[in-house]
Amino acid sequence: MKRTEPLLVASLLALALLLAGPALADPAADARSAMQSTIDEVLKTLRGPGSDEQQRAEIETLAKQRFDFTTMSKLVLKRDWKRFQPAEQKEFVTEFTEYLSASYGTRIARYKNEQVTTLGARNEGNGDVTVQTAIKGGQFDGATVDYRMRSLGGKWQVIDVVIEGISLVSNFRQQFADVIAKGGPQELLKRIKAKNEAGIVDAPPTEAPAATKGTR
Amino acid sequence: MRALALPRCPGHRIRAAALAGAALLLGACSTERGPDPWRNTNEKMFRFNERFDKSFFEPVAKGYDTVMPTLFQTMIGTFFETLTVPRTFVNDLLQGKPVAAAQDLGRLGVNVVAGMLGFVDVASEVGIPKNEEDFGQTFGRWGAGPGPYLVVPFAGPNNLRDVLATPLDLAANPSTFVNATGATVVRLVNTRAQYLEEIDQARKDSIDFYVFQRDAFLTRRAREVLDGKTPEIDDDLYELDDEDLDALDEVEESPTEQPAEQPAEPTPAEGESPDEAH
Repeated sequence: MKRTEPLLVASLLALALLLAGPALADPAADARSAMQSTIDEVLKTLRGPGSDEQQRAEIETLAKQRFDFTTMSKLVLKRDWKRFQPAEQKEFVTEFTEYLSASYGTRIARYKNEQVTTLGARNEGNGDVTVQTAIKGGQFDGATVDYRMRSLGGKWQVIDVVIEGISLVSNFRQQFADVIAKGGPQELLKRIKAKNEAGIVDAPPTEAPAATKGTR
Repeated sequence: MRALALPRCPGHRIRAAALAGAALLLGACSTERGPDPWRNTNEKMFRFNERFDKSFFEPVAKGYDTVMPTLFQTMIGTFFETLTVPRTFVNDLLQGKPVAAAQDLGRLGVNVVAGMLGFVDVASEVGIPKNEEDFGQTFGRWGAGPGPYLVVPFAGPNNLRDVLATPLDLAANPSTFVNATGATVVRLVNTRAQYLEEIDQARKDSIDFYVFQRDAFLTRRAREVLDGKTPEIDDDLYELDDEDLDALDEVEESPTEQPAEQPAEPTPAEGESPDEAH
């Protein structure tokens, strides 16, 4: 019986190669591993040393590498994109990037003790891939976070985040469409800038004494 | 008080529908007018609720949060959840889910007997799945659309289908038949306290909190009807117009990447030229 072992190993190897071949060309797998590496880095940052402030800054940097904020901006504005002058478009992308990465950073920073599991990846009709993840443990146990990804310039980039079924692109599009309809591009820019200046990242310390909380 | 401006649905009288509880009509109506035909009234209610929350409810919940240990908050929350299990059980049956019904009956038994009358969720720890069903979800399952979005004074976001279903939900909850105002107050404040951070963050994160809240609520309910499955997102959401791609090049200054967009066909924005507009 011992003699069959090399054969067995060889055939297993062949099988593995057969399986790996198509897998390498599989967009879903590529997108998934790209997202996985970002998630791993984010979690590593969260568990590593460094003040909350430093960690948040690092996460924002990671987010900027993996998210295509320009595409997101255009998807969010859709038809209204053309109502923006080129300079306004540029300004919008800058402000919206800051706004999203700050808010993503703050949200993620709160998931300190949670795990993230990648559940799978699904090919979408138009060549995009949705990478499905879920939060494990803590208050939001089981919450699903899906990343819609697109291959841009040979790199898988996030173009939407769907938290518990709520699409960030769709949600912001609805919010922004109203503002633009009423006040035009300038009004929207004004409002996003105000948010950025006020610092949406400025979450109140959770352990603050009651008196401070009450007077806010 | 004037009645809410009901949307006119050709061929149907929605008032009759409301009375009969024939929520099936709601779906047909709401799609024609978007999800929020009563927006004006809703926004007034929303502003009222925001004022009420910021000046009274949230501060009370914050005070409660500082004096009430998290463990007790969780236990109180679990207790009130236990009281909703009969409602879930009835709706499991109405939706034809005998397995879920059995799970929930088991959950109720385990938590009442082994979980200190329902204050501790022992059932989850021994691996009994938690289902949450109500009559609104059952009507949804039977084919009723959510109907118009509706902001209820004090209670917040809702939709017509679920508002109509609320009396049935109450009838299936044992606590309805106990005269315990104090317990109701505790339940409300306890729930609000558990969402202090979330709601605060959502207010900061949104440019228009009314729209954010509406979308979040409608999506949550749609998922609950589908037992947690995310409703299909239209691929259309992720389509860029070809003309957009040209404009993009000028804006592309992100320090990270140079996303090479799919080259647009060599017909750059033909329809744009104003002279040809005939």
